[in-house]
Amino acid sequence: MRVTNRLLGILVGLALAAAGGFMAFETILAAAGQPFLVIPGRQWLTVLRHTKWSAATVIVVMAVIAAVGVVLLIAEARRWRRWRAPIAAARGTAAIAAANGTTTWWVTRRSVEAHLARQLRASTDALRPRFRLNPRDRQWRIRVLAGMPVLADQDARAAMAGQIEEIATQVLARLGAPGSSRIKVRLRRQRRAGRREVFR
Amino acid sequence: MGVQFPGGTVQGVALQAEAVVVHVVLDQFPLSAVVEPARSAAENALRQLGDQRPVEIVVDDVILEAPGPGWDTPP
Repeated sequence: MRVTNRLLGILVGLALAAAGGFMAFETILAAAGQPFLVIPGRQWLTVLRHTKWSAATVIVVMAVIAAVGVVLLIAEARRWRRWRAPIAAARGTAAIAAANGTTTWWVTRRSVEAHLARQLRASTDALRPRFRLNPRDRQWRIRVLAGMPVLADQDARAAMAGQIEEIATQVLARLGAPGSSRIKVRLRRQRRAGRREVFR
Repeated sequence: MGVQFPGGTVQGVALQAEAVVVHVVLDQFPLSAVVEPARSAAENALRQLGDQRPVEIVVDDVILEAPGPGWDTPP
């Protein structure tokens, strides 16, 4: 995948450089009074000169661009989940560590999620457990989505949820997570094996 | 993740301006029993070279099962 990405990046870069160079060449030709070689420059100029700002096409295009800009702004401004969880800071010992000249150490978010899922699969009958960790300094927030047999009744669901929460709490304590971690468990009846569940 | 030098790569180490970050995979608990000595060893090695940057340890994974032979050998 890494090689593919690099090759694609090189191809896109070369394509953009070629297009930019070509457009610069066409612009120089036009500035010198020569006709355009490939692009229908005269036609484009005519359209641009005769299109009013109040035209429906212009308004729609501007609205779409503004909407995309707002979406990108919100996406960048929102608080993303950390890719790693600070262990020492989570235990409240960051200040002590700093005073001693030591540093905080970290556990990657995905490793915690994977470790939790492995432990849950090994200890319960939960089907395809998936974890979503949001590590904050003082509290880790964890959402669990797991499947359970279709025929399980309400009591079995409650027992399963309690078991999952208990195991997750134990695992987090071993990892050094803050004691106030919040765990939310959501169970779904597994309709068929292999179905991919996703968080919403 | 690694540091490239002429003729090779040091896997799992990132030399940043403010800190040296070491990525590890652990197979035992408590994690601090491995992390703290690893950090101390890395810091001692840096100090011997006159480098005062702090060392940050990042646990990339916790695998309790024994990883197969040669797992820590760079390809």
